[in-house]
Amino acid sequence: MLLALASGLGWASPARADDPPPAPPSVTELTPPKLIFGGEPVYPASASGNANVVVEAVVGADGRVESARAVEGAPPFDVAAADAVRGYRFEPAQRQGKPVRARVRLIVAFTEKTVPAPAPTPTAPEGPAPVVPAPTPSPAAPGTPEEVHVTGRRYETRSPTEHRMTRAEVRLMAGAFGDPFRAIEILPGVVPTISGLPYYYVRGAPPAAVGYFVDEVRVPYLFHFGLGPGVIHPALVNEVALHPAAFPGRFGRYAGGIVAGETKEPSAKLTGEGLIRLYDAGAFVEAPLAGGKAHVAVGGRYSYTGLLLTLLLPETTIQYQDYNARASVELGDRTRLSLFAFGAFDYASDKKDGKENVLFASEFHRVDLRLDHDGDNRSHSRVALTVGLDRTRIQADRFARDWVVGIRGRHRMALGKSVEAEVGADLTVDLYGGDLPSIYAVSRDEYEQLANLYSPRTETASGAWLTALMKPLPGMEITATARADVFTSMGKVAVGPSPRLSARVPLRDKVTALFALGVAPQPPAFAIPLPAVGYGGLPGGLSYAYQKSAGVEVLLPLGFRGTAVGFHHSYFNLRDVFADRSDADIEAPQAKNNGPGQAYGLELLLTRKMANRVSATVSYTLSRSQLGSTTTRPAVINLFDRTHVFQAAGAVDMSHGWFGSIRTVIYTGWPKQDDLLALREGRLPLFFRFDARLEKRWTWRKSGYISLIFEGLNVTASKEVLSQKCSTDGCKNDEFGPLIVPSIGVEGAL
Amino acid sequence: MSLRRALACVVLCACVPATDDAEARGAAGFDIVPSATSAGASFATDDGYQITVDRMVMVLVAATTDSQDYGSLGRVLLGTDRAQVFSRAIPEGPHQVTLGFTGLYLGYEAKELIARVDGWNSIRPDEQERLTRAADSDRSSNYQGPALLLTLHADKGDTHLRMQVALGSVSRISGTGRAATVDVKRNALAARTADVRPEGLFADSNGTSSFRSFAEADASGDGLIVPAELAAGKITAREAQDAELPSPDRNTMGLLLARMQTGLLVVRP
Repeated sequence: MLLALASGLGWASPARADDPPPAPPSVTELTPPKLIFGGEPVYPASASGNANVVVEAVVGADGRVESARAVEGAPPFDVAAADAVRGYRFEPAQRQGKPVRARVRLIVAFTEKTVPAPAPTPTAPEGPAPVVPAPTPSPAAPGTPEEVHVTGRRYETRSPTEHRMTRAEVRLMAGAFGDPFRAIEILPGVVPTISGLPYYYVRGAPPAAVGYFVDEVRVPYLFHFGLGPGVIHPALVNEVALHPAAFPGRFGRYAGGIVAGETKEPSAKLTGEGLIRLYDAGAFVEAPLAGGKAHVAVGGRYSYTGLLLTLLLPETTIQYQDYNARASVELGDRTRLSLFAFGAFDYASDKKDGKENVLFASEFHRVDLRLDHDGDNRSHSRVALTVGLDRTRIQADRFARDWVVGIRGRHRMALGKSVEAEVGADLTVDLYGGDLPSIYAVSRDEYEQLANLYSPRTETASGAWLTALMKPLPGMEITATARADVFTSMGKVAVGPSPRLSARVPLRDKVTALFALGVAPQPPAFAIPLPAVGYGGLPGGLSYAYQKSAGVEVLLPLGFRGTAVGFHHSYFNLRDVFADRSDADIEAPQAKNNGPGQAYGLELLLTRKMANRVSATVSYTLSRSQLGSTTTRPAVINLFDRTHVFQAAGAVDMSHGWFGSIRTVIYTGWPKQDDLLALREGRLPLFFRFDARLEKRWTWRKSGYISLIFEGLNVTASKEVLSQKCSTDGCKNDEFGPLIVPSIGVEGAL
Repeated sequence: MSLRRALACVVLCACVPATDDAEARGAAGFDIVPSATSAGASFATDDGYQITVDRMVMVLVAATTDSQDYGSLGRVLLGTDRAQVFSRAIPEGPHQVTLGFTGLYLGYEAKELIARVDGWNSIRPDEQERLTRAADSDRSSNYQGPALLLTLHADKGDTHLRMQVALGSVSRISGTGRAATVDVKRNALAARTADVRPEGLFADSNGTSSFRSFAEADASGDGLIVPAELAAGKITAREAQDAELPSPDRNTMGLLLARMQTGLLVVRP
């Protein structure tokens, strides 16, 4: 298989009538971007033969690839090539010694046979990958604007200390089911609550303090029933970022961390994929229209779990479905109008005496209309309007409804050769409604609980931020953000300042120091993220996280990249209803304040993208999460603290269309909670599990494929110990599970 | 999920079913109506005293045997307030409901106490504080507060007296006559009207009113009748018999407690 070779570099945009006058200096001073780091592209499993793909990429002034799309080449090579190029790093193009954004064209070549990569050419001495930069570009014609015009849409401020995973990286990861959102579990700092349950503690912050976003749109929940398939079709997701601290300015209102997914750029060709499994089926199709000026994508998933359950448990109904749709149209060279809609529905019930009893029902819908515009001088603007509807009903309770209306805007601009600024603001209005009972028909306690969670009310959250990105030296990035949010609910007002500072500082050729500091406020949040369910009136006020982390990133031989980050987060007024497992009251009018807390530790991550048929990811988190003292107890270890969390995943291309991958997860057991003094000394037994994935692909018509996929989470059927009950006869483990998620599916693509 | 619902879901984007019809329940209670005298108008006793209620705070509860409401500690209201006191979550149909005084359970922490009392914020802070200490009439109780805070003054000729007392509901004296039967309807309050009549504190069962025993309880002669003086104040044998007071309570404090139970609130037929 494989390898990528570069080709020409082209400056694409012709001069426009409204372009500024030609720059007097000679454009021959333009120096093209030089590749300094790039991985080998993944040879598509469904493919056969050799292929060349021309990828057009926008390389930012910081050397990162802001966007990449295949402009020539057939599927599935085009997608793989663009995915590969997005991970490249360049020495930025320069004009008169100043770094500038540039659009480059690369030829990514795939060969089916397994051959060693050719030696890098002298022009890319630091690049471990067999990708070489293009030859020196032709001089720009007279009249070419001084600023190179690019068409990249992905021009978002990134955090120097974030983790990013592309779908291409996680597609073969065992136990992730091809979903980048589920794959974040493998990242360091992410501590699982219970194996297989995608609710995580991030650096000691509980799941309710972690925010989920897709294209900057807040998502109530990411997985059907909390542990099922994702609600966003993986084919639509380009990458997912985990921001454990010092989030980009456009994110806020969560103290624990941000999980942000980005949808992929519209495809220039008709693409699609589908998946049929034992219990559900899903598909995603995207097509260009009007000669590529517009794009339409539709996807969705439908479960037929009910049919299976009818055979096994005729009194039980479980149903889920979701939809994703996107339409975009280019309004000129620099402006795009997009409409993105997605939603999900979950339903569970049983029957008693012939009457259907709803156990849980929840749904959400989002429609996001946004306008993106690339301006001159590296500027980019986005304005967007979001409308949503959330509804939830849980057993024996009422149903809650929330109409969500949000607007947001941001503008990024260059303030000089090494300083950029982004300014933005957003406003979200939640119009909560509920089916509150008559005060005469229910008990006082029940009514108050319902009134807290379901009461009709209007809540607002508004924020504004200013971010400065400074690059005083080559390779150095300093991101400083000043953000503040204002929350209102039922006459209460709270203001949450949120300053942030993060930096990348190159120490040596392949060693970069990472720093992050941040303050993150959050309004009271329900213990489990449920659509339309939340506390009214800001009970207890805002929670705050003070985030501090520092570490290094190292480019290692054989294509490995490693990071080691130490962190210390302090939490104030943070409510975690599960902090005391024996006294968790999820339906209390408000979660108890657990006092000041802290989490500290060391995170290690070692990754290698697919190259020479092998990819690998290893992560290890050594951490301690503590709850501060209260009037009734001393400071104690958080009951969900896990000292060690180790994960290792690897995937192998076994040729002839066979792909195998395996992942192991090992972590320390919870602290014991059975001692009278609640000192929580001692640990429950550790937990380990293995996930496995085996895929066989057949290609058809050179551009499509069909795969048979066997995948399982916890194939070792490991049980997790939740507590120990001791008596005079000794101690007995209270075990959970085994929670096994098997999947046999057929996946195909056009 | 039926095909119809699936289609509705797609078209209307609204799949979550509405709340099921719960078991039909409602409330039974009383509509408490203040009177001119409870709101500060003077009234005369048969023995010539002009009584003026300066301030009256009551803690009331409506009780039934079928209620599923265990969270309420009662309702606080002023003598000037019109308010509803009811018991919730009662099955439809006829139920007997009783209106009574209650003291707040002092075992709760203050915040929890406040959260379980309706009308708490309608009274002054000093009155809130007084409701969280033992009643003057039953100092042996450390777990239940006063049910009635009463401040009044009485005038007759050159005699000017003031009385300030916090009466509890914990007593060997039980009241009668405030029970009523109501027909509970779904999601509605079935209420009877009860009038607040401070005149009843000083009237016997025949309607004859007198303040003399209370006036004579002012042993110090300072014009202020304090709880200790009420507990030591003597009453007539007729008053004791009329109020059916047991011997330990045959004093002006006991008489006031008995009249509070029987005469302060009058349920209309």
